[in-house]
Amino acid sequence: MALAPGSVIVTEQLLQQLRGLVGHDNVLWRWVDLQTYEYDAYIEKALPGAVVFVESTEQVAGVVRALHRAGVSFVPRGCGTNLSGGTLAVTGGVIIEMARMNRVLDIDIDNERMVVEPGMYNLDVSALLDPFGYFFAPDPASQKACSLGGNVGENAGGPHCFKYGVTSNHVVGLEVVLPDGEVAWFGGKALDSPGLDLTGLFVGSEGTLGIATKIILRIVRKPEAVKTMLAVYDSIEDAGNTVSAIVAAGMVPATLEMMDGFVIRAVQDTMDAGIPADAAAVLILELDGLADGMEEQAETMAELCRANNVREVRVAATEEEREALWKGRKGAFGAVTRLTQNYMVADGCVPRTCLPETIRGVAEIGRRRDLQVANMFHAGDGNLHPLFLFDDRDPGARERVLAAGLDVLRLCADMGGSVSGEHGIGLEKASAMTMAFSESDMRAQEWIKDSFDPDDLCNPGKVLPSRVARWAGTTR
Amino acid sequence: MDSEIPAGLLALHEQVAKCGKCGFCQPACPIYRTTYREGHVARGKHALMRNIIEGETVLQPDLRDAFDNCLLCRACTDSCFSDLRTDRLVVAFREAYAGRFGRSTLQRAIFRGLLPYPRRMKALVRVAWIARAAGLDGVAARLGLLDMVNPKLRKALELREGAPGMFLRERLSRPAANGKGWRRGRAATNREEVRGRRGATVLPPIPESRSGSGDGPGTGMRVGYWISCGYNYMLPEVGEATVDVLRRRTGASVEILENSCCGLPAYGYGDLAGARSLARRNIETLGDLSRFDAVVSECGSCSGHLKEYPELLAGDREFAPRSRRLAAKVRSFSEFLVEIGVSGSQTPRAAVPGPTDRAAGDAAQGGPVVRPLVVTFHEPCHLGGRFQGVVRQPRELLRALPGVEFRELRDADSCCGAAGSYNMVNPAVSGAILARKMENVAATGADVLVTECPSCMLQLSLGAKRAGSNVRVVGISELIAELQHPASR
Amino acid sequence: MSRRELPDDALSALERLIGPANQRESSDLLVAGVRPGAEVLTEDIRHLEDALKVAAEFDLAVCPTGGSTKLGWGAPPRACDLLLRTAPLRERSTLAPGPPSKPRGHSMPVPGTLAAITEYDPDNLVVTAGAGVTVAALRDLAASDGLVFPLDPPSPDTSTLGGVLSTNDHGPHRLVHGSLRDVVLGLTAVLVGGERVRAGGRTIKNVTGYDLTRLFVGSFGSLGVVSEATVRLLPRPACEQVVVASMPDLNAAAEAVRRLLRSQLIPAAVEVLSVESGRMMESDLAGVGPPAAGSCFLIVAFEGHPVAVEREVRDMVRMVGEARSLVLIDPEDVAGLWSALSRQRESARSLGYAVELKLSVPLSDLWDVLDLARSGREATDEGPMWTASAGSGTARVWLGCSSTLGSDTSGTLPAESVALLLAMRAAAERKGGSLVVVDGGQALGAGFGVWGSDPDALAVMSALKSKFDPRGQMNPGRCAGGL
Repeated sequence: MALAPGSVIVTEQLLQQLRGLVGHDNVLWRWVDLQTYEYDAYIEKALPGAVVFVESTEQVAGVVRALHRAGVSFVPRGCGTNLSGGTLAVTGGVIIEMARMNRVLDIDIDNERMVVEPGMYNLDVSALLDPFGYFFAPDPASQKACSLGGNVGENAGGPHCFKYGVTSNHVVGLEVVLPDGEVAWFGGKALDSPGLDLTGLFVGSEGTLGIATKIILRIVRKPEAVKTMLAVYDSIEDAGNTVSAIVAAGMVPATLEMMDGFVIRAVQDTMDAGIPADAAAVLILELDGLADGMEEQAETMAELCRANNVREVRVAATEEEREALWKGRKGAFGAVTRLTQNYMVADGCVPRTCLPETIRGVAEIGRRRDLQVANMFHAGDGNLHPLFLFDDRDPGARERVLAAGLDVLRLCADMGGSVSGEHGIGLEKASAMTMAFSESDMRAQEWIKDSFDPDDLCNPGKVLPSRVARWAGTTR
Repeated sequence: MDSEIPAGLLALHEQVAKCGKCGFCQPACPIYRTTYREGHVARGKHALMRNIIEGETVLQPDLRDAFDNCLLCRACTDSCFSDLRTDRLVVAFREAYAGRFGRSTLQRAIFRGLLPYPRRMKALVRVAWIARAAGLDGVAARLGLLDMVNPKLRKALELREGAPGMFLRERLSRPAANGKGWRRGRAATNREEVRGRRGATVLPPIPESRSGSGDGPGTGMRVGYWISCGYNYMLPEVGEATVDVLRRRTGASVEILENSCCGLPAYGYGDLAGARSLARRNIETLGDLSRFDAVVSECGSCSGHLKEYPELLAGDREFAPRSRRLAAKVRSFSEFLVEIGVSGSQTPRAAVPGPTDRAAGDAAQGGPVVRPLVVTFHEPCHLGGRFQGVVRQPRELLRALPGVEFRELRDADSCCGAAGSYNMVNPAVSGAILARKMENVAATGADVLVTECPSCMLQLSLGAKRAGSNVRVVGISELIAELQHPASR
Repeated sequence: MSRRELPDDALSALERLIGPANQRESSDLLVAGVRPGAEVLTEDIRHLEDALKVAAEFDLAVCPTGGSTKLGWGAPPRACDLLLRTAPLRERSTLAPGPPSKPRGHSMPVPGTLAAITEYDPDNLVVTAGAGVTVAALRDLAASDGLVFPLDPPSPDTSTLGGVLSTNDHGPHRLVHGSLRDVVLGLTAVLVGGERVRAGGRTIKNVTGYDLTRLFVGSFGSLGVVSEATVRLLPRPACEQVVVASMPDLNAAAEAVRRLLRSQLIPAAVEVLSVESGRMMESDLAGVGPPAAGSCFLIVAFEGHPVAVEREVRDMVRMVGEARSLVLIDPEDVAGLWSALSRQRESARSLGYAVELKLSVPLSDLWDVLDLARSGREATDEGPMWTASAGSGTARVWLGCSSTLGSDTSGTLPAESVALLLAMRAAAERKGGSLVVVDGGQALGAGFGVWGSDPDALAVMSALKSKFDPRGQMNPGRCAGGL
């Protein structure tokens, strides 16, 4: 494979240095090993120059210092579940693999904080907190498989974010190895640290400003009661209108999830989730909080569904019934996947009231690009995740899917929404940045990167269109 | 380039290209949770497979590490959106590697010349035990021979003082010579004349003296008892307990089958031809299956693999139907007991003294206090949800045992790291997987760790020894025999 | 610091661009003790851009302000050539927003004045408003549609959106509504040189590039002047109840708060007031009984479904078993209570407290630091007064109420009070928190570090500052770390 101009060449001397820092077996450099680090959950691939496993802040700092001295770029990577290509080493640089840095450092119930290392799985956090009666609210669909470091990088969301907020609302402090290898603390257990909110800036920076090595999380008391209901609709408009009606009525459900008819049929084909196969849309609505008043609120919500022509509302009376209602939503991804060779999940946000119009627009994009499309939404947030079905082995289909993804983002931008709800910009959406931002806005974005990483060594070629363009063609 | 790729692999292209690289296989994979290396998890293997098939890379020795580092435990397949059967893909690639680079003559000798022949196996194992007794186990181990034949054996050598006095098959065939008390004095009457195949041993049900009747829910049934290599050569007492419980609790008569190795080790090495020939040989040996109501094994690996014979022999005009008939009769021990209705609802036969808690007792009343026996269960991969779906049954049996408090083991269904020969491929990782398993065991506070597979049993015993734990590792039939037929022990 | 004269060219450029009516060659205001060279009211974003263009051209140091309620905040600027106001110095009556520029639900931001609502979309629960719009105006606007504007900082009638955002100033409902960094979805800022920068958007989920919105929140104008911001609105809860308890001492209050926060209840606000602080709003706490020395007040609000709130109040009463007295505030008086709390800053000033501190520590460490204030009461001639937002781990502390001080800012704080401040700061910083002299730092004498220890990552902050403001003209030295 030809190297792109400016690509990193990892020398034997540098490898020796890295081995000295992390141990011989913790540096991968042979092609056979590197091949398994040329991908994440996005479509494109790029081969790194080496992979380094780190286990402590000191090691991360040492490795970054060495790379900085050598002028070699690097990419922090957790579990590689990124959907926008954020962990691809487009310059052929060194991947710093954080997955082994996964210890809990402090569970501080009194202060509603928890300190963890970035390699910890998102779901493990809530599992550890469960005995204390607390949880970590951001719950991305990949929470079983994604790490907190990645959640911080992408400012991950999830169904519960409608009520509880995204990662950035739940991270209050970070220990960061800066791109030159210096270690700094941003924020802390206390709120309102004097000076600029670097924690807020760092969350969602997609690994381009440094490497988080410790994360202070805000943890939340587990709700006393949960009430789940499934509403079945004959028209997706009615489902969308129900969502708006619920919000307008002043209700703040914990989740407001929506699936379209395509997904429903896929689900019913693979399992019995008890959803009529001819339904056009379903909503999964969940209330949480105090047990008192829950019944009344559930009734109000059901009432709003009925006022919007719902065909049927089912309320879970037991935990088993609750799981049954969620079964379809949780199995939706797998069900759709079974209908296709491959899929690409797009991600954008629109103002909630624009959802019905956006859904029509997405269907039109599918038609225009000759692609089947399945729709899942975090409807409360106006966050849509159309899944485009295709065959990865067909280059033409791949092109069409990438184009359709951008079409969706254009649509979201036109609706006054955002071009990335929770998957980040990465490689995938860099060209969409200009849909949202002007030239001068982009200049300010560049300043952020330059302030942290003037040598452009930390996850180069991501987020900013100019940087992505510089490395175009290095992926396959 | 394409011409170098075995056709069998090309056919897998569609499957491997389906991998969406979502990464959900990672948290499930015991090896990944230890090494955190992509090459060790399904996603990385799919990437390599795809690169091989698409000609980006070739079948080269260096890539083998990725395919060797798989427990075939199917934890990944369980969480795969695309429903990929990574274990099968790995076996296909192991086979391709063997096809390309050859299998060592030793491996060939073992899979083709040894495993099918119980007599030869027996002789070899005897030699190994003698070497061990003579302090020569280092020599034997260095040969690598023991691992290859059966990694269980090496572990047994490490764990045990001496060889079992007699292998299971001999013990079961010569009840009079058996040293165990439970059949003492009855041996002569317990022999039933051989019916059917040459010289097969058929043991009649044992009536329970206290209840005065031998009737069990399986009265009149005939069960074929499948002897697994692990119990045969290393843990014969478990096999004896299995047969004992079958005879006492079900009311069925038990025929000791003349089977050879089920073929799982060969399959795991990607020696599909060897595995198929063992499967055919076993089907032939078992002969007419109509005489059995069930073929039972307490080895989760054996019963799991037997149930997959139809898939293994799918293209075989003669043996595919026969393998389906066999698979339909195969039951794991606990599965069989629960299925025919031998469950815990049966009353305990005797008051069982539990372990004493001296410290607490002394403080309270100045004497030891009997507390329930705390029991937990390790679910063997080949037994549990991902292979046979036998999940509920062993737990049900254990919960019903007198004086037992059953505690669920965290990640009970995750592989213990034995996985056939994996401890030879990567001893450090296997050890780390085992250590995590033992941490979870320790967290339950269990006195007894029960399982239903000899390979797991030996691995867990090794784990207990390494962890300095005094948890007792037993087969499920052993504990049942011990607690429900204490008088007979 | 002496006032610096502006070059005539600069003045005439400003006059030409912005008009003579909006410009004053001298200002009677002080920016953290520094008298500006000139003062300009930028009525709209064009003015703001022009003023910052002139600033760049003539290398002027610029200090932005909104309602001028926080001019005394922060460290003294190293220079202040131009005081730049986004809102006129008048009561809010003239600042009331006009009707929404577009029919509801449709977005098309129209450049208007900095004191106007740009876009109000109640259906999607967002509002975009100019920096000069007061919090009260936004609050009333949202209330007209049964919605809640999530920010309830002190002095809502005069505090502007831009000012509150830039200084990260919060009120009691932060606990349930979230911090500024959580509710501000996007903003527009004008940088020195007149360049306009937009950040964020109007959806809650948004990972489009770097989060400049959060970078600007609390940045004290050190990067640029916020001209407009988009804020999330919330549905109005069906019911709100407030319980006030008189607690015998700090320990009892701390214990009640701990129980409350660990319980299943979901308080909307948990405020603890020192006895002096409570005395100041005695009329609003009427019925709780006269405050005794050493005691404190606990104010807890619950909101949501009436049935849930009723249960919360019931449980709450059990949790404050040690309360001397306990009152459920009449629903009609609730607004008055919050309003009185939001006026505490003015009340403290009128009582002669010269210095306002902001304490921020991990939740459970709040009490140890506040306990220092109690023991300090014996050492200083007038006790410090405080109000803590106990669910957030923050507190406002007022010091220096002495006859020698009063409203005369040239006075200095007695040594005992300074010692107390330093002791509290040391304790807070030891716990990983901070104690900032928010207002009245001049009373501590020139050179006193109002922000405390430099932030850990000051080098990164400085690098950021030098990109947005390469010549260091934006509120120079006023933010933490001398940014």
